[in-house]
Parts: sequence; C-alpha cells; structure tokens
Amino acid sequence: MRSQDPKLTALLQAWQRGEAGAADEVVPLVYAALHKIAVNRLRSERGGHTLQPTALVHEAWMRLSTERESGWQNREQFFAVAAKTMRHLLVDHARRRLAAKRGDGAPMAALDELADVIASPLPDQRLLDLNAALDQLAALDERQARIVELRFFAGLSIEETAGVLALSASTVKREWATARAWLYREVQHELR
Amino acid sequence: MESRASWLQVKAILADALERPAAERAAFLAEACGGDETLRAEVASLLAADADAGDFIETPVRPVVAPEDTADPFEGRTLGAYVIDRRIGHGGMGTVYLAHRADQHFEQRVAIKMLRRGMDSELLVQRFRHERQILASLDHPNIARLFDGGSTGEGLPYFVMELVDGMPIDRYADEHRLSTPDRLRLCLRIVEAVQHAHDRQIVHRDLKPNNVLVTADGHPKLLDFGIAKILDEGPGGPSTLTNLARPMTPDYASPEQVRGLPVTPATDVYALGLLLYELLTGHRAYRLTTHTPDEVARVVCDEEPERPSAVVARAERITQADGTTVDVTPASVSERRDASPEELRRQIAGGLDDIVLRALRKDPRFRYPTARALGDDVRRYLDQQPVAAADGAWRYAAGRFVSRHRMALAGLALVTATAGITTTLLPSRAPAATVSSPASTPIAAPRRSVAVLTFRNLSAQPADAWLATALAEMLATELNGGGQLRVVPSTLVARALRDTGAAAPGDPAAVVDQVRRAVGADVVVAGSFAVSPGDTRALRLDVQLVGDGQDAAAIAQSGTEAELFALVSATGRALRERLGVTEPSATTVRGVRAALPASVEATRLYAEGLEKQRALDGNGARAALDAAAAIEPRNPLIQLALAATWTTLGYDARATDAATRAFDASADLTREDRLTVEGVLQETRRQWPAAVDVYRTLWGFFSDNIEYGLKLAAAQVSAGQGKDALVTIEGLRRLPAPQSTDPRIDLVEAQAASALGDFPRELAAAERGATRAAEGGLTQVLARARLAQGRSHFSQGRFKEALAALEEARTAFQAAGDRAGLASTISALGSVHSDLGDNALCERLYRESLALSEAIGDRRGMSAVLNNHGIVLKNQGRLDEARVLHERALALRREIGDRNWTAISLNNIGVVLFEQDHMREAARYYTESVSLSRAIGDTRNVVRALHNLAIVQRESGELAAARAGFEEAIPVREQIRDQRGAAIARIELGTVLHAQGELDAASRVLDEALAGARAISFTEAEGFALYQQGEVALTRGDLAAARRLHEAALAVRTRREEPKTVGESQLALAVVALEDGRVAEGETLAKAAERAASEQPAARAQALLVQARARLAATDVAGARRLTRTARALVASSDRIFVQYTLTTAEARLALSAGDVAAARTQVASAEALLRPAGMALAQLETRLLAAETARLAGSPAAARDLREVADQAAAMGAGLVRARALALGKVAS
Repeated sequence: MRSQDPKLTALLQAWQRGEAGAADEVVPLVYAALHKIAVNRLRSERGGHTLQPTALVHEAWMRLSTERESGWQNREQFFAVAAKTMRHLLVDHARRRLAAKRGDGAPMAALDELADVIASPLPDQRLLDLNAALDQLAALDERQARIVELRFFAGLSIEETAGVLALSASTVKREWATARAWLYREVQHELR
Repeated sequence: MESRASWLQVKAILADALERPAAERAAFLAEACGGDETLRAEVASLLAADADAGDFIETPVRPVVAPEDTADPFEGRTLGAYVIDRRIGHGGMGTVYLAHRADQHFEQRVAIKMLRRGMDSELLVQRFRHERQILASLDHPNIARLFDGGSTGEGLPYFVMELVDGMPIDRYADEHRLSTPDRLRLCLRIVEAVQHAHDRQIVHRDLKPNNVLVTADGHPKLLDFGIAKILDEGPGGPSTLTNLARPMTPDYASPEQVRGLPVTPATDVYALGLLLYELLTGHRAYRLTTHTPDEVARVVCDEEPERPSAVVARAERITQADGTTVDVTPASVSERRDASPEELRRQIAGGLDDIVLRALRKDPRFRYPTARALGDDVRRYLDQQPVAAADGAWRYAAGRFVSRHRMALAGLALVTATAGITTTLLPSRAPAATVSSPASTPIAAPRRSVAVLTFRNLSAQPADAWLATALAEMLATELNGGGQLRVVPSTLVARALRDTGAAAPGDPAAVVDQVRRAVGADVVVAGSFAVSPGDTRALRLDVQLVGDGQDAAAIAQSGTEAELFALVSATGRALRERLGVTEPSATTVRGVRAALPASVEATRLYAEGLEKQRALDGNGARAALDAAAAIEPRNPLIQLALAATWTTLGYDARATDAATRAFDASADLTREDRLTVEGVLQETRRQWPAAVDVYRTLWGFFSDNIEYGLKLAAAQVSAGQGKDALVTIEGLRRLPAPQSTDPRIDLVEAQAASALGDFPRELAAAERGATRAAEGGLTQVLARARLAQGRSHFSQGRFKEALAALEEARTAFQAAGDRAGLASTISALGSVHSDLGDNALCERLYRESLALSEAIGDRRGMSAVLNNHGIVLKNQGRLDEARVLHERALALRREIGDRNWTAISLNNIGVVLFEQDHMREAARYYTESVSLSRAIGDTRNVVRALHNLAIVQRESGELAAARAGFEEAIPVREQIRDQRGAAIARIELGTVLHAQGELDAASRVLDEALAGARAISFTEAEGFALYQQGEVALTRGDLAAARRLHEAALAVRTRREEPKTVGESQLALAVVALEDGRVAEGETLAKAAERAASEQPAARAQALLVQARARLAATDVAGARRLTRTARALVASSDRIFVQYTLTTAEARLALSAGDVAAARTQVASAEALLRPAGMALAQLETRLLAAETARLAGSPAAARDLREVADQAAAMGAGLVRARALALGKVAS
C-alpha cells in the first residue's frame, strides 16, 4: 500500500459520503494491504492455526495505522472498508467461478488470489443471493447492513462490532439477530 | 419487502420476540401487533425464518489454512453431574461426547448426546421431563439407559445415556462373518428389546444400524430409545415444532413418517424389516441418491423393495454415510455370511423373503402387528417351521382386489351351546375396511375394533337386569387388556344401542348391524344370558361374534352366579382365540383383575350405577356407585364412574376426589387404563395442559382410537390450544371411515372454532355434525350439534336462526332423554329471548331450566341459569333480586369448585353492586374476578372485569385510567369477535370522551357503537348508544337532535321493558324539555323517572335534582331546596364523583337563584375541589360558568370577561349549551 497516496484520503471521504464508485476504487487499495498480510501469514504459519478474518483485518489495521499519512482517519473506518473489501472479493470471485462453470466467464484475475484463501461458508450462488439481499437491507437500514458486513465478512464479534460502530453490544445483538432473520428469509425466497 | 418505516416497527417487535422463549412468542406477537394482521404476519414470517436459519452466516468467512480441527468447545465442560471428556461421534442430530460423573463417589462413564443448534431446548427439556418416568420404566439388558437430560448454558439440549462400547450391528456382523442364522438370532434380541418398549407404549421411531451397537462380547444394545419421541411431536404433527428437524433418517424412514402420519409400533416393525434386509443381504432395501423430500417420498411410499433373495445376486456400488464407496458383490456378501452365493440365496428365498417383505409393507395395517409377531415368525423360520408371513403375503395380494366382505350374521336369539370352542389360531388379519387401494388409504388402525353390546336378558327377570351391563362391561375390560384390540367404549355402544334400538325393534340382526356401523366397529360381540330360577342361580352365557367375513361363531359358557368372573374370563379367552389375538401377558391379566370389582354385589351396584349414568340419571347413578364404593373403596373403575357422575352433577371438587381415589388405586392397571384414569383426573382438576399431555400420549400410541383423539382435541380446546386442537382434528379425519366421519369430530371442531372466535367455522362444523348425526340416527349427538349451531348463531347476533336451531336441539334432547342438555338448551333459549327483549318469556324459560337442573342435581346447570336470570333481573333494575340470584350462583360455583364461573359470578355481583351505587365494593369484586381470571387464563373474563373496573374508574372521576381501559378492551373484544362486548365498550368510551370534552371523538365512537349494535340486533346497546348520542347533542346545544335521539332511545328501551333505562331516558328528556323552556313537561317526565328509579338511590337523586330545576324555573326556591335536600340525603355516602358533582352544582344553582353569593361561592369551591384530580373538561367548563355567574351576582367587574372566556372555551369544545348560557349572561352583564 502506498501510504503517501493522496488520492486515498479523497476517496475515503467520497466513500464515507456514499458516492457511487468510490468503494470500487478503495477496495483494491485495501485489498493490497490485506493480501500482503494474508500471504505472509499463510506462508509463515503453514499448517498452523486457522487465520481468522478478524485477525487479518486487525493486523492490517495495526500495520496501516503505524504508517503515518496513510490517509486512514480511524480504525472504525478501516474496519468498515476492510469488511466491504472482503465482501467484494468473495462476491466477485463467486460470480466469476459461476460464470466459468457456465463457460462464458472471463479468466480469473489476480484479485482472486486472496479470495482463494478466504473461504466462504456459503456456496457461490448462495453468497451472491446474500449479497443481493444485503443491498436490499442497506436500502432499508444502512446500519444493519454494515453490522452484517463487519460480522460476516470481517469476522468481528458482537462486542468488536459495537466498538467499531459506537453502539451498545445489546443494540448490535438485536440488530444482528433481526438482520439475520430478514436476510435468511430473503435468501430463501430467492431459492424458489 | 417493506418500507423503511415499517421495517423499523417490524424490527423492534421481532427483536423483542427473539429475546423471548419460543413458546411465548406467539402470544407476545399477538399482543405486540394489536390487531395489525399484516404486521403480525410479517414478524411471524421472520420468526419462522430465524428458527429455520440455523447457523446461517453465524460463521464468518475465513481464510483456509489448516483443515485440522480446533479444540471442541465442550471438552472439559461440566453439565449437571457430568464432565465432558472428549468427542466420540458426530451425526445429523448432534455430537456425542464421552463424559464421566463429576462427583467422586463412583466412577461412571456415560455418553452425552448434544443436539445441534436450532432446536427448541426449552420445549425439549419439558418434554423430556414428561417422558422421563416412562423412559425410566425401560429396563432391558438390550436397551441403553437414558439417565438424564437438560440444556447447556447456550441452550443446547442434551441427553445423558449409558455408554455403549461397541460397533454398529451391520459392521459387527460383517467383521465376525456371522452366518444367516446367527444374524437372525442377533436380530431376535433386538426384536425382544423393541417389544419390551412397545409393552410400555414407547415407540423408538428411529431404528437403524447406527442405533444398534454390538459390544465386543456380542451383546446388542439399542440406543436413543425415547429420544425420537421427545424430539418429534407425535400425532399432532409439527404444529408447534415447525422448524424442529424431525429425527427421521431418510434412509430408514417409514412411509407413515415420510407422510407425516401417526407413528405406531408398526413403524418400528418396518424399521426392523429394513434392518433385517440389510443384515441378511448386505444391500439397502431402497437406493436413495439425492435425499430430496420428493425422492424420499416417492421411493419410500411407492417403490417396492426387491426380494432379498434376488438382491443378493446383484453387484452394486454403495455410497456410505461418510462418502466413501464400497463395492458389494454376490461373492463379498456371501463370504461375509459364511456361505456361498447360491447357499445364501437359498437360505433367504421363501420364508425370509416373506418375513422381511411383510415387515416392509407400505401400509402399516399389513405389517406384523407387533414386534413380537415378527420375532415369532423369525423363530419359526429358525425352527424350520412354515412362517405366517407366507399366508399374510397371499392375503395381501388377494385382498387388494377383493371388495369389502359382506357381513355374515346368523340369528341372534337362537344361539345354541356348542360343545367345544374352535382352537385354531387364525393369523391376525387386517380389518376389511377399504383395502382396494392401500397406497391412497389413510394409514391407521392396525388393530381391529370390537364393540361389546349390552347383553340381552333372556330370563326376563328385572332383578337380573344389572347383569346385562355388568357382563358387557366386564367382557369389554377383558378384551381390552393387552391392547391388541380396539374396544369401543361401552358408553358409546350403549348410547348407539339406545339410539338405534327404537328404530328397529324386534329385529336384533338389524340392530347389531346398525350399532356396528354407528360405532365403526369391525366386529360386534352380541351376547345374551339367562339365570335359572331358584337358589342355585345357574347362569348361562351365549355370545356371538358378528363382523366382516366372520363366521357366525358362537360361544357358550355356563356356571353359577358366584362363578361370574371365571365365566367372563373363559368367554374372553374364547373370543380372543376366535379373533386370532394372543393371550395377554400375566401383567395385563393382573391389570384386568385389578380393574374389575372383586365381589358380585359390588359388580351389581357398579353395573346399576353405569346403567343409570347412561340413562343420564345422575342422582340414581351416584347412589348406586356410592354403595358400590362403600363395598370396594379401592376399585379404580367404580371411583372413575363416580367421578364421571359427580361431573354430571356439576360437582368438580367431589369429582376430583373420586378421580384422585381412582388414580391412587390405578397402580396395578394396564398402562393404557392408568393413563385414562389420569386423564379423567386432570380433567376434573381442570389441569388442561396436563390432560393434553396424557391424551397426547394415549392418542400417540393408540392412534387408531378415535376416543383418545377426541379427548385430546377437547382438552386442547379447554387448555386454550385451539390451533393445536385443529391439528388433532385433522388427524382424526385421517382415520379410516366410518371413524373419520364421526359427528363428534365435527362437534369438537365447532368447540375449537368457537374458542378461536371463528364463529362461521363453528357453525359450519356444527351443521356438518348435525347432518351426520341425523344420518346415523345418533339423537344425543344431533342434539348437541343443534345446540352448538344455536350458540354460534347467537354469538353472531343472528337471533332468528339461533331460535330455530335451539328449538331443534330442545326436541332432540327431549327425544334422547338428556335432561342436562335440555336444561342448557332452554337456558340458551331464554338468553336469546332476553336479547330480543321478551323478558317475561325469558324468565319463564329460565325457571324451567332451573327446575330441570335441580331435578337432576346438576349444580353447574343450576348456577348457569341462576347467573343468566340474575343478569336479566339486573337489566330490569330488579337489583336486590338480581344480587340474590348471583349470590346463589356464586355459592354453588364455589361449592362445586368451578373457578372459571366463580370469576364470572364475582364480576356479575360487582355489576349489581355498581348499579346499587356501591363503588368500592363493586371494585373489590371486580378486582377479585380479574385476579382469579388471570390465574386461570380466562382472557374473556379478564377483559370483561377490567372493562367494568374502567366504568368504576370513570364514575370515580379517573377518566384517563377509564379511557385506557376501554381503549384496550375494544380491540381485544373484536379480536375474539365479541361484537356485543365491543359495542358496549365503545359506548362507555364515548361517555368518557364526552366527559373529557372531546365531543367529535365521542360522536364518532358512538356512531360506530350504534351501527355495531344494530348490525346484530343488540337492542340493549342500541338504546344505550342512542341515549349517549342524545347527551352529546344536548351538550352541543342542539336541543332538537337531543330530543329526537332521547325519544328514539326511550322507544327502544320501552320495548325492552327495562324500567331502569326507561327512567334514565325520561330524565334526559326532562332536562331537554327544561332547556327548551317546557317546564311542566320537564317536571312530569322527571317525576316519572323518579318512580322508575325507586330502587336506585343515585338515579332517584338525579331525578329529584331535575325536578328541583323545574321548581327553580317556576321560581319556587323553597320547593327546589326541599327536593335538593332529599337528593343529598339519598347520595350523601356515594363514592361516585359525578353524583357528588351534580349535587354540588345543583346546590350552587340553588344558591344563585336565591341570591346567596356566599353559599354559591362555597358550592363552586367544592365543585372545583371535586374536579381537581381528574381531566373532566366538560364539568370543569360548567364549573367555570358557575363561578362566573357567582362573580356576576357579586357584581365583580371581572365577571363579563370571565363569561366571555367561558364562551370562547365552550365554542372551542363545541359545547353549545354552555356557550349559549355564557353569552346570554354576558349580554346581561354588559
């Protein structure tokens, strides 16, 4: 990651404001950081412990936050972007893999390297359905969608999520539980 | 998909619901969503999704590094008395751990099965507790013990079981190269273990090789007995457990499990068949490739398995549970069975093919009826005897195309004694009902049903008549022992005999045929007896078996009366032989002996009691049964009959005592009988959830017995589980005809629908029941159906239809000789006539009903009609009489221990006290009623008493509380479709809104109430609503409208002949007349109102005050003062704030007219003090007007301004009358 990248600050601000396209540009930047850490970890700890996404994200943050002028204003923001990044990666990867199965997909891009080592507990089509449902949920309740991203894609616990979003743990728990029920129902609908 | 706003609302309720235990969610939801059905449905759908969701997205994405397992979170944990050591297995239902006891007293190693997330642990644990006793009775060397159960801190249910160190039976047999006979012998031990459980009414439901472990020393053990029962819901289907994974392994599921039909012992027989198939052949009976529900259903329900002897010649690749594949070839299979392929084929062909395929019949009725029968056949094979299955196979093939056997029946009367009784053991046969297409026939009824008719008394000595009932009763008890036959309850048979006997007198054959159809029996036992005259009392019994395809078999026995019991036993034995039923076990025989009275005299009295009970002579029955109980106090059947009689007589407490004695004496009875006794006990105790549990167990095990299903459904209705009752009713409808069309199912459906407030469904069910009862000639059932119809019409406000149905019910009850039914019908007729306004007719009917109930000693019936009569008297203003009747009803209800109705009586007395102006006392009764109703969960009465409490609050000036009470009551009442209650609550709300000065809102609510009352011809409410509208019009200053409305109300009330409300309307018209300047007319009306209110001090005082106003208008201050003083004396002690307020303002007005400023000031100050705590805007405005008038009289310069302000305020409120007065006075002032 280029810590001096002046573009990042602007992009993050745009992303914070919810501008279209900003996320698409931020993601590759965060991806680069995550990828580097993941690959290092996986090499050095072969056969060792399972690498939790939360550990990955935390470590990426530790590294970035110590680099001055990295453009990251705070930890919370980073976690949110990291979670989104994970989501993008997995969804994109699932899409490509499905397309490849059908024989009409583009070849796998380099971006897929990390996705290959981040396993989704959901099958590809199911993940895409979840992605679509999550977009719908964001339209209803942006905060809930972010909670789901942090929990599922960044592996944050209830308490960590509460810390990142400056909410009480009980609120996050309620929001998570209701979002999970809603998403499950939507995903089930799409099965039919 | 919802909007943002609605999602917020949905989310909030959903989150609250998710924080509650699953069992409470439905109730919470109904409450939280108010009447908003869309909202409720949305949240319910999300709750269902949540329950289904399992681990969905709970596990985050994670980088794949090491497939190696992490430490199990449960290892080292303590659960109850056990410490978990390590994981030893994992399956679809959960994980199995090795554990040991935490206390050091002894070293015990156990297996703990932890169920996976998503199961409703609370419900499971509750069910485990209920089953625990039963499971404890499973003491068999080949059954692994279940020690304990509970749930972990995270809410995961677990079971603690005996640790079995062994391997699955199929692997064990293969590894030890067991020969076919050795495999069969191993299986026999499993079959015996299963039979042991079946004898205790426990079905395994999930038998499969992995649940049968064999220890190193060759000892087989069955695992998980009882667990499937706890996890599954039984015959009620998955109603409350929609999302609970049914513990059904698709590869080993029976057709009935796949279809969600009742599970019976035949289900285990089927699973044993699958087990045998695999053990003998090394192949699966069915090859499932995908396990989709459709495929499972198709294969299991439609595909016939290949003959075992043919499948061993097949080579195939089998995918095992762990995903690996094994090649199975004729050589590999036979080698593991220590034989050559040809030897193996020959061993299996014939007998074993027949045995296995018979166990695997799709239709449970065509399988071996019991595990024991399967075991017997396997033993026959091992002993090289012909197997019974061969015969069964032939019958099955032939039976598919043979239409229903015609019933063979020889003459009944001329039964001659036969020398010997045929001793051929017939193979147990399937009932002949509709065998043409087994696949589409509802699966049930593996047992044949038998009805034992009341014996005919050939010697025609009336003194011997008791033997007719006693013999039938004893024989029925005898045949019921062992549970291999379904014996139709003798009460039903007796009733059918009574109903049909009249239709075909002198034609016994026709009677037998009709009774057989009416009770849906496969076989009828028709007997006669003769007692020789003289001291020897020689007794001869002739019994004939009549039924489908049954040879007219006759059995004769003779002996002396003292040998009665031996005679009956011998007859029972002979009958069982004829029916191909094996002799019951020694335990069962002991159970039957324990049930029957031991002495002839007690038997005689018991039989007489039963006969009287069936003839609906409660007092006669009680006398006979009391005498019987005096001889044999510890006989459970006598006590049970006594309990039934006390219930008939309306004595709950005594019925409970008798049922308790029956239960205490029931230890030696068969389990079925003991459960039946327990069911009656719970019913008399009104412990409905406990009764539901008992009947669910009975219906679960004897799911061919309509009686248990009916009792379960009725108990569910009483327990407030109407929806579950409907599920049970669906199960009842799946019984084979004619049971499925039994009109009693329709009756219980009507009750369930009524409890759910679904009156159209109640009506439809009652009508269906009436039609079926009429077709079957079942007079008493017909009467009950008509009564249900009438009540449903009444509930829906269709009085004319209600009257028609009730008149039909009256005729039918008369025909059936059911005086209790007649009494309640006549009482219901009285209530309808009361609502139609014919009080005289109503009272006549009530008295008639009371006399009937008194004659038969029915305390409940008496209390019901006294209660209803009290209500009518109260409505007529006959308060003292009403109170007396209600107190009598209350005393009766307390005496018989009926808490539901005690709560209602308390409420009704409160109403009378309220009318008599005793606010505090009324509030006390209401409060007791509310707390009692809450304790027993009677929502209707909670709402009712709360409503009344709200009225007291209103009258005490607590308007906000009162308003909240009514606003809460209206939606609840609409939800339970209580249109009458909703109309009344709206009117009361209207009066509160009126007093709060919200005139438009008051008018709106009253309009709704009036429309509602008119829609159901509810004249009482119509008059009340019109009256209140008149009052609002008066406040608005619209005198013409006020007069019109009050006159309309008066007309309605006059038609209803209610002096009290007539007087109220007259008084209102008097006030209108005075405001209109028609003083003489007003005074006359007020005097009439006073006469009407002679018994009600508050109303009388009001009438006096209005007269005083008339006197003032005629400038007779002295007369006015006199009248006001009388009024004050009448209500000096009243707690009603409105009464005090009216009195105070009247006195202020009097002072103003007399020019006494000081006195006026005092009165205004007291009025203000009265109004201080409450939001009585209208009264406050009136008081401000009085204050301004006083100021004006005192010559205060502020008076003109005050009057202007009052006028402005009144204008804002719409209170035209006050405004006009303020303006008029202001003009004079300026």
